[in-house]
Amino acid sequence: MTDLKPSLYWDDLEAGQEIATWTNAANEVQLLVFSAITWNPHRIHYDRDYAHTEGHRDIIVHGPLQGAWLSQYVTDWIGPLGRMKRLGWQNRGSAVVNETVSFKGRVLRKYVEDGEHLVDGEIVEEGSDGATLMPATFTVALPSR
Amino acid sequence: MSDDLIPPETAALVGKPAGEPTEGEVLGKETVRFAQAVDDLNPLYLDDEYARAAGYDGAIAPPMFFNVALTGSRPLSETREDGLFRSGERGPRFNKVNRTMFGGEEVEFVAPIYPGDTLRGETVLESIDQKDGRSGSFVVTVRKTTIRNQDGEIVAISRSSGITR
Repeated sequence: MTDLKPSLYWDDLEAGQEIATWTNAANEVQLLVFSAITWNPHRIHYDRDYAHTEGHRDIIVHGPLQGAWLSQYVTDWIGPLGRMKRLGWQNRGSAVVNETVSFKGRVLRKYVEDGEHLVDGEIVEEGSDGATLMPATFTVALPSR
Repeated sequence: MSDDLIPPETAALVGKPAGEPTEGEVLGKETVRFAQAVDDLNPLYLDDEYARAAGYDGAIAPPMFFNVALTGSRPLSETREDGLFRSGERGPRFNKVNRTMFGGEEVEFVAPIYPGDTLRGETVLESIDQKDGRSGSFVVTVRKTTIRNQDGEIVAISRSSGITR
């Protein structure tokens, strides 16, 4: 029987606290399998010449893939006993293939609502030049001591 | 706030259904492939025993998976030059502006989604607002999709916004 212990407690967090930065990048193979599983045939995700004709500097990383990375950043942070309640983001810019992007997060506030120990936070996904690609906010429920 | 970009017949669409409901089964092979495509190998998505120890009934779908189940299947003959499927659906019409870009998404995760579930998504046009910024006026359209499982239980609520300028 697997016994899971909380990796993050609500009690140990405070507003302003930073979440460890995480970097990631998608190569052509990853973009291909993501297009396949999401049944997304848009050429900007695999045809470099076509992406140029739409004004993009290279093949574009799918918005929903970056959304799934935001989700991964949150769920890795809260651990298996935390629950992601809400995640929202804005598409300001697009990452391109093989571009290293950074996810930087911090805690905005913590509170108790309907018996749940909740934390609101924000994340910025930045491109390799430091430009904001996706600003995001989230709410999670965490175990408390 | 001005609203000269939003004709009355478009404003009247607020609160009404946007498109037909979408439906689809959550296949265990697809939830795993989605996790692999994201490269998010969280055992909650892969390992029933681990997920049960975390308080679930078994391995769950990754949070952002639900759209995979709701996306319809289309033949290649219906794709355009840019690869996208032809849309039979006409979005709301506005005055003076017509170029719509995806603005963002917000998802409330209400209950876990499991392989074997059948999801149904119903979308309504939640709001249409004109914004007058320094770079000019534009319209923000928010679509709210309520996703239920086979028991009628709400599992997620997704809001996606489009910006037309």
